Amino acid sequence: MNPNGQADTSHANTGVTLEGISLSFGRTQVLKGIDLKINSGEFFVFLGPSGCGKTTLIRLIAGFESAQAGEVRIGNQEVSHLPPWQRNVGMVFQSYALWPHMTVRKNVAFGLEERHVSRSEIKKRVDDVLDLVDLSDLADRRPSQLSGGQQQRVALARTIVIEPQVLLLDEPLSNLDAKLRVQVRRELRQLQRRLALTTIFVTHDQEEANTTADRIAVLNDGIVQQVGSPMALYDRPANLFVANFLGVANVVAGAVVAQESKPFFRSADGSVVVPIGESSAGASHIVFRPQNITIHLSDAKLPPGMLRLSGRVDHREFLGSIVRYRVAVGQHFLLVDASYQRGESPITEGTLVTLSLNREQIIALNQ
Amino acid sequence: MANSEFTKHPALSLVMLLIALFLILFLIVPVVLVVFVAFQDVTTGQFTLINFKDFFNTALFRESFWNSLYVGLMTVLVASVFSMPLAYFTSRFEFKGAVIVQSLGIIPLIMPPFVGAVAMMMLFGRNGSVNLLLEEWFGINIPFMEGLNGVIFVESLHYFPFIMINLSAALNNIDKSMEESAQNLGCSGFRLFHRIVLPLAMPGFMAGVSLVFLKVFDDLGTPLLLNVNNMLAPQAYLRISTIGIKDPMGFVISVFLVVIALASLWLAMLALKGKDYATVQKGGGGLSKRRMRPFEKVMAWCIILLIMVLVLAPHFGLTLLSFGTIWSYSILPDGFTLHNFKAVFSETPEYMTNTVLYSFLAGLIDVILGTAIAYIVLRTRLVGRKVLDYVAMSAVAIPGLVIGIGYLRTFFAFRLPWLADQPLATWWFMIVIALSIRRLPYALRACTAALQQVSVSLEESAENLGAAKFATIRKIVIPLMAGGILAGFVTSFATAAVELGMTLMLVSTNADGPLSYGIYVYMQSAAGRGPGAALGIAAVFVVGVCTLISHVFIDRRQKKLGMRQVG
Repeated sequence: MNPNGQADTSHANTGVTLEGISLSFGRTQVLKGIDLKINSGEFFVFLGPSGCGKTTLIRLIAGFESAQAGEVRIGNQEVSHLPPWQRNVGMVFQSYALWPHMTVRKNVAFGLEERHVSRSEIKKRVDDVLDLVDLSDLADRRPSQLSGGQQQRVALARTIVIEPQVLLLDEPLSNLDAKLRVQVRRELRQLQRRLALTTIFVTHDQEEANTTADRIAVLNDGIVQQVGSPMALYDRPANLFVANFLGVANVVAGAVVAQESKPFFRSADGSVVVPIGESSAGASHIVFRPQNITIHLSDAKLPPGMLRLSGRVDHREFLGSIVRYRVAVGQHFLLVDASYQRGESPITEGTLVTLSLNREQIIALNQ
Repeated sequence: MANSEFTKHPALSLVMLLIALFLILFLIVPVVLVVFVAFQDVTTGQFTLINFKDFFNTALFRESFWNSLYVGLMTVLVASVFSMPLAYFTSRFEFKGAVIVQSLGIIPLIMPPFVGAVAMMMLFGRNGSVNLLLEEWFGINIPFMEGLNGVIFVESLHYFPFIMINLSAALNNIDKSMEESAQNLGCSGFRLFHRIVLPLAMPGFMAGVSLVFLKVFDDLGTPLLLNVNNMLAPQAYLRISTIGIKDPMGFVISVFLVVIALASLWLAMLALKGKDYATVQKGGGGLSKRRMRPFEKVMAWCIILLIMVLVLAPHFGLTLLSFGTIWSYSILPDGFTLHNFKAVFSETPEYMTNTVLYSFLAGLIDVILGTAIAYIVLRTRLVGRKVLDYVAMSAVAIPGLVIGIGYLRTFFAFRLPWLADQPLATWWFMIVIALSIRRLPYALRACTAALQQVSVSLEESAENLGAAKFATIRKIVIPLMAGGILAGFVTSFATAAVELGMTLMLVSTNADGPLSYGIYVYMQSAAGRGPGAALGIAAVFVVGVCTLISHVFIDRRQKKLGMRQVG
C-alpha cells in the first residue's frame, strides 16, 4: 500500500473485464451484452458513432451508470456494487468539469484531500504532477483564466495525481482545435506509456483512435463490432460497419460464382468481376480502399498480374495531397485516390479510364 | 460623430432630452436634496455633520439602527432556512412538488408583507389562534410576533421566494459533470455538497440575499402595522409626520437607508464579480437528479406542506379577518359576515378608484418611458444613453420612503394657483409621478427584454420599403414588443397598487389615498381591522387578476407570433 491508502498500482493487475453487460434507459437498450477484456497497462479505445453506447460504457466503469446485467471487474475485484467515490478509477470529462471556484492547485489537490493524504505529501504530489503537465506557472490561476488546452491538462493532472488504477478519457480532445488535438494526443500517449496506466479512451474520431490505441473496440448500436489493433481492423474488418467506419471504402455488393471452376466475385450488374480466394465462398460484398486502386488513361499499358476494371470519370475532388476521382463502373461508383504531384494536370471529368487493382487488396465480407 | 447621431435622430434626441429632464426633476433632485438637507445646519444652512452626531447621540436612533440591521440579517437567515430545502428538492430530485414550489415565487409579488401583518398577529400573536391552541394542548406560548420577531417572521415568509428562486436557478446552472468529477475523485455525500455544490451556488444565493435584505431594511409598512417603531424607516416617517418637514433627522435616516441599500447591492455585485459559475455544457444540464425513496418523499412533502401553510397563513388570516365579525382571544372569529366588504365599498370607495387611477397612470407613464429608453439605448448611439439607462434603473435602490420625503421637501414650496394654492407636493398627481419613478425599473427591464427580441433587420426591411422612422416604430417595433410592454405595465401597475412607504408620505387627505393607504388607516384601530382586511383582499384580488390576465394574454400572443419568451 502506498501512503494514500490505495492499492499500489504499479505492478498489480489493473486490467478491466466487462462480462455480459446489458443496460437500458427506459425502453431504449443502450448496451446489449458487452464482453471486453482490457489488459493491464493497455491504451484501449472505444470507437463508434454518437449514440453507440461508448460513453455509457465508460460511465459504467466509473460507476455513474448501473447495468441491468453483467459484471465489471478491475483487476480481480468485482466493482459493480461500489459507488463512484469508492472506485479508484480516474475519469477526465469531455467538458473537463474543472471547478470554477477553485484555483488550478486546489482543483488538482482535491482528490488527494478527499483521500486524507498529509498536507506535505499533497503539496509534493501536486507540484510533481503540475510539472509533469507543464502547468507549474499557472498553479494559482482559476480555470476560467486558462486556454482550452491548459484546462485539458489540468483535468488530466487532477485525475492522474490520485494514481488511479484505470484512467478513463471521455472524448478529451473534442473541445480543442485541430492542431492542438494532434499535439495533445501525442503527449497523452507518451504520458500513458511512462505511467504504464491502463487507459480507456472514448472517441468517435477514427484518426484519434488509430494514432493512440494499442487496441480498439469498435462499437455500434450497443454491440462490440470488432476488437483489434488499428491496422488489423483496417486490413481485416469483420463487417461492413467496421470497414466503412475505419477509413474510406469502396463496397460492391454481389455474389460468388464459379467461372472455369474457379471462384469469382460478380457484382449484380456484372460490371465488376474479380477472382476471389477459396475461403471466401459465402461472400456477399467486397471492399477495397481508394488508395489501392490505380487510375490510368484507357490507352495506357498496364503492369501484368493486376485486376482491371473499365469506367468513366464522373467527378473529382482535389484534397491537397491527393486527387479523389469518382469513377462510374457499370452501375457502381468507385472512389480512386491518386497522389498529386505539383503542376500535374488531373484527368478531366468524362474521360474513359482503366482501373487496376491488386487482388491481395480485396476484402471479402459475408454480410 | 456625436453630432451626426443627433442629426440622424432629431426627434429621438428631443424625446431623450425630455426623459432626462423628467428623471432629473423627479428622481435626482429630490434624492440629492434629501442628502443635502441631512448635511445642512437647520438654522444657518451651512454644511455640517452635527445632524449625524445628534443621530448617534440619541439612544432611540442608535437602537433603531441596530434593530433595522438585526431584522434585515435575521430575515435573510430565516428566509434562507425556508429556501434551502425547497431549492434543493426541486433541483436535485425528480419531484412532483417542484411545480408547487416554483409557483410560490409569485406570492410576494401579489401581496406585500404589511397587508397580512395584522392577520399574522391574529394567527400567531400572543393571544392568536396558534398560541391559544398551544396553550390548551401543551401549556406553552411561543413569541412568534413579539416586537422584532414579528417583523422578521412576516418579512421572511414574504420574501424568501426571492432567495429560493435565485438559489434554485443557480443550482440548475451547475453541470452534472461538476458533481461527477468530484465523486470520481472520491468525494460524496455532505462533503460533496459543501465543497462543490454550495460554493458554485453561492453567487445566485447572494443575489437573492441582497435583494431580500434591501427590501426588508427599507420596509416601512410592516413595522408600523405591527406597532414596532424602534426601527429606522418608522423613525423617519414618525419624525417627518409629527415634527415636520424641517426636522433634519428624517433626512439623516433617509441617507442611512439609501447608503445601506446601495451598499448591499454593491456587495452583491462584488460577490458576483468574475464568478459566472453557469457551468452547464451544451446538451448537459442541471445537477444530476434522482428519484426520491418513499421515505424521502414523505419527508419532502412534510417540509413543503409546512412551508406552504406558513406562506399561505397571511392570506388565510386576512380572509378570516375580512369575513369575520369579532375576532379576539379566540381561535377563529365569532361569526362570519359580508359586512366588512359592504362597509369599505360604501364608505370609502375612493380607495379603490384612486388605486386603479394612480396605478394605471403610473403604469402607462412607465411603459411609455420604458419603451422610449429601451429604443434609445438599443437602437441609437446617442450620447448619454447609457447614463439615462443607469439613472432610470437606479430608482430600484431608492426606498419609497426616501422618495416621498424628497418630494415633500422639493415640491412643498410650489403652490398650485388653480387648486386654492395647494402645495404641489400634496397634489394627487405627484403620487402618480412618484409611483411611476419608483416602478420604472420593472417596466424598463421588461421593455428592454422585449426589444432585444425584435431583430433589427425587421426594422431595416420596413425602412427599406419606404417607412420613415416613426412609422416603423409604430407599425413594426411596438406591435412586436407588445407582450413585453404589457408585462412591464402589469408589473408596474400591480406593484404600484400596493406601495405604502411613499404614499404614506405624500397623501394629504384620506380622499386622495389609494388602497395601501386605506389598509394602513383602517388597521390602526381594532374596529377597523375587518374593513382593512376586506380592502387587503380587494388589493390581492385586483393585483392577482391583473397578473393572471396578462400572463394568459402574453402567453397566447407569444405563441401566435411564434416567438420564444425570454426571462
